[in-house]
Amino acid sequence: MNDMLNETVNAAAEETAEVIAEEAAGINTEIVSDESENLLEVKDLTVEFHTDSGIVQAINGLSFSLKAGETVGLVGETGAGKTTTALAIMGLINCPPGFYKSGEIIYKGKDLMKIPESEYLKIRGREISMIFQDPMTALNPVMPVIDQISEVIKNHKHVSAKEAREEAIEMLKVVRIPPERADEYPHQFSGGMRQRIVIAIALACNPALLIADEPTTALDVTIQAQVLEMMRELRDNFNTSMIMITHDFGVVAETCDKVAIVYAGEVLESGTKRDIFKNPSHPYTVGLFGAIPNLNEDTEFLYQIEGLMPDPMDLPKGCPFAPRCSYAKDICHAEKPCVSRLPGEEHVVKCHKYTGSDENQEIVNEEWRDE
Amino acid sequence: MSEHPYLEVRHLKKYFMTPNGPLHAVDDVSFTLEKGRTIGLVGESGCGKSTLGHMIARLLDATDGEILLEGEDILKYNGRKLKDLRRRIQIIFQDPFSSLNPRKTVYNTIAEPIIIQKMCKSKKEVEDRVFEIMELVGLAERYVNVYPHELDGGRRQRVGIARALALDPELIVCDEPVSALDVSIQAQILNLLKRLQQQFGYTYIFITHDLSVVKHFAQDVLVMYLGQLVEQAPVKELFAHPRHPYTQGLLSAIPSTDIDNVKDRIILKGEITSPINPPDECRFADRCEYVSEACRKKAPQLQRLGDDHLVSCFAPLD
Amino acid sequence: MENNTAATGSRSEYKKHSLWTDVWIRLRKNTIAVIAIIVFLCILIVCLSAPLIYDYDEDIVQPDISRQMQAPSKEHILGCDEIGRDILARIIWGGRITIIVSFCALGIAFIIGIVLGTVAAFYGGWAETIIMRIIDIIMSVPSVLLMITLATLIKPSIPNLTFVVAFGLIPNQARIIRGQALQVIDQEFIKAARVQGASDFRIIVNHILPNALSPIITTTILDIAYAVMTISTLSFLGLGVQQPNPEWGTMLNSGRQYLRQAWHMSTFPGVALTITLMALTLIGDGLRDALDPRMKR
Repeated sequence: MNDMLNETVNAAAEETAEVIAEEAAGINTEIVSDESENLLEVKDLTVEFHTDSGIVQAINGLSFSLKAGETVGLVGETGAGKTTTALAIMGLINCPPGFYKSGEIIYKGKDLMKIPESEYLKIRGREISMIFQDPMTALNPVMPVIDQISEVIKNHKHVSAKEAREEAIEMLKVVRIPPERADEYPHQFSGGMRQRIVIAIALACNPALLIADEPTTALDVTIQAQVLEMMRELRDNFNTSMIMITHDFGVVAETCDKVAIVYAGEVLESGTKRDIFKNPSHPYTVGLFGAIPNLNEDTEFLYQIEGLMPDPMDLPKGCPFAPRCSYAKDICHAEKPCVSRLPGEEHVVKCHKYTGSDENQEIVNEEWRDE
Repeated sequence: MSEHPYLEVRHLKKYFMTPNGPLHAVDDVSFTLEKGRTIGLVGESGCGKSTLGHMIARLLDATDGEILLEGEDILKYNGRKLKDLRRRIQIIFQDPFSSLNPRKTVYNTIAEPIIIQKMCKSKKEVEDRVFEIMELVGLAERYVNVYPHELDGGRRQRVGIARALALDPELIVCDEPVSALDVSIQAQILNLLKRLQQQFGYTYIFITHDLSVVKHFAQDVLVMYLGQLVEQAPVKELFAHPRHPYTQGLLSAIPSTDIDNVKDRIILKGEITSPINPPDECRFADRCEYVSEACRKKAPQLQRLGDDHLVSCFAPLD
Repeated sequence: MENNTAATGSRSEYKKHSLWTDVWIRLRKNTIAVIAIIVFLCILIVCLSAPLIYDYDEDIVQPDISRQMQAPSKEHILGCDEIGRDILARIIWGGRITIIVSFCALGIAFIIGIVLGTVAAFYGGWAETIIMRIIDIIMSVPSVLLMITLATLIKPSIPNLTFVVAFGLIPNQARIIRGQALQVIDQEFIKAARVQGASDFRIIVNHILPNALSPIITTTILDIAYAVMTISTLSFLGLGVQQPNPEWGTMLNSGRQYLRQAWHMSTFPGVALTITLMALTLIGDGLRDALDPRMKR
């Protein structure tokens, strides 16, 4: 297993070398595509939480972008900073203890971090909305579901109560909840239905961007399949862009166009779904793929990423993954790697393995290969 | 010894009384398990898989039926015999948070079963045993006096495993041991359990809702739906040729990481119906796309198709 | 398997502490609680050694009209009461009675409450129904009324007073313990203990009680305050501590009539009461934090 991983990583490193060589030969590739196309661009976002026991570095220079109609998957383990990123985009981080240290969140050309709360209120729910993991706590238990949907509509559109209700009933039909159940309370619905109601609320104002935070993690697999299919369908019908936060590569494969691998508050690798699934390059990404039991392959033991995610109060100085990485060199512990491009449309990776100027790239690669 | 299978469950039933009638949590389940093997118990929430596991671990009494361990019905055990049985059957729980007593250090948690079962003569022996087990499950010695809340999920789960291993059991019921863990930690724990099995020949009953974990971990699979067994087969056979429409839907619902071969999925309609007072018909009938008259008339029985393949369906798929 | 950098020393480094050693280690770090403990211990020692300092008949009972309501002076630091008895002596002797009675009452109530509460929570069914219904009935009667009734039924004496106060505390104790125990009982570590073959007694003592007790420490300490007040109330009504026996509550009450002429008569017993109760509350807070390892750091 380790050998196989070794090969994958080395192969990827070789390819990079080629690309860099090509670039040096004068083939100019624009790393950042035209910014105006992006619906959302998160640039170098850094968020800290100041607590009594110290500073929690939740997000450390996280960047990704999203074009209209696209779905990007933020993949990572517990504590990687996925949900904090989502809350930061929604402007829902309490300051204090939260503290935006640097970065920009550019939505439709506007930096959301600079707009006043009053303007944010108009964006939240209308332009950007969010689905949470637990459908039970996301709904108000003492309010009929129809009122919870029409409330969002009333908040954002100037419509009468009656019109709002009619629209809300339409939304219920869209998520295939029988309209005759509109006046029932959340506890009368099953988990899958509740999550569909949450989706109906999120989509009620036809937002341009939907952030889904582990929307199917709490659901059974057959119900998950139903909900995912519905989300895909709605996204296509409403032409909504989506940020899918998940730890499940299967869900990513089924719903996303682009993938960003998040670890310790930064994106270690990102690219199109094909880039990541067919050519995983960062040792962490490769390790994650190896750690999932594969349905089509039989392995005696799963690949094991040793150790734990670093403590966000005490992050390593260099690459955050270095303490767990079996390829780590001195430089990995000492310096943060920069972003390197890999072949493929948008495939980028933050790893020392792929950095370096043209001359020493070969040497670096030689060195890696000896391992 | 050899005429009896290691573990045989016969017509096991567990009904819970509710104000609306009896809840059929486990309804007439039978299966056998050979020593040293791993059987996967799969199904969605509420299918009764945990209830079944808890009955085998003698945490719950059965309403009816027998659980034969090497030919002896352990449901009839009590007192001294039951206490001795505890050494042989242990359980690992799902939630690494609630499964450890927050007021006990790692040492006390692991030492407790040894003290209860009087396995060691002296304090020194207990201590040696605790350190031996900690090493087995990959817990560094420096965690010995640490409280559970100071540990991460993966290490807590290791403590839970250590506690189960302390008595050197034969049969271990693993009740969703990795569902609450992150992917990389899940791999660590699964590898650990597998390594321990190879080393000590444990027999596992592995309860999970994650089919890919079962595929990786178990040799035989039982698929449960609303308290009943719908299909039983060796793992490869089941994944290659599911014969029950529910198994087929369940397998098809797993999101695949293979982005080149996008499979045609069968999305099961509807949701699990209530297990309270179920009518005498196939319990899957409402969600089944192949449903026929016969399915509504009475409940199907488990029938043998091929050597080890059992299905409870009137019209099994090819 | 582990990639820990910290040195793994020899086994002997890992002393195994009991729960209470750990509690004490954590409690020691809490300065306020330590001060409170010291203050309370001083009160306790002084009050319990009252017989060594003052002679009961001479200093406590014997009136001396010449010293009637004398203000604090060199001979009588806290002054004298309406019939000329030394207030300091009476506070110390009175504290002895108050503390002994309230602690004994609380101890009795606590033990009976634990037994009733855990039995009700652990076994459920009939045991629970019977215990909880009886407790509900007791609690539906105003507690002062209940205790007055009880106290009139039996002869006023110090053991009987203890029993009456304890009786009033049991229902609350049992209910709180049951509530806490119920939260613990469903957790998986209880199931784990069962699978190990632990007896019911062991599960209750080792797993349920340690987890159920810490949340009730503060309420228990507050119950002491309640006990002290009950003793005073009953004494005031002539159903508790009988004259000429001193008691803080009775002293407070008798001094109240002379507040204008002799402020010291009610002030000093009041101060004693306040300091004691405050120390107890702070100890309770400290214990609660120390008992809960999750509150560490």
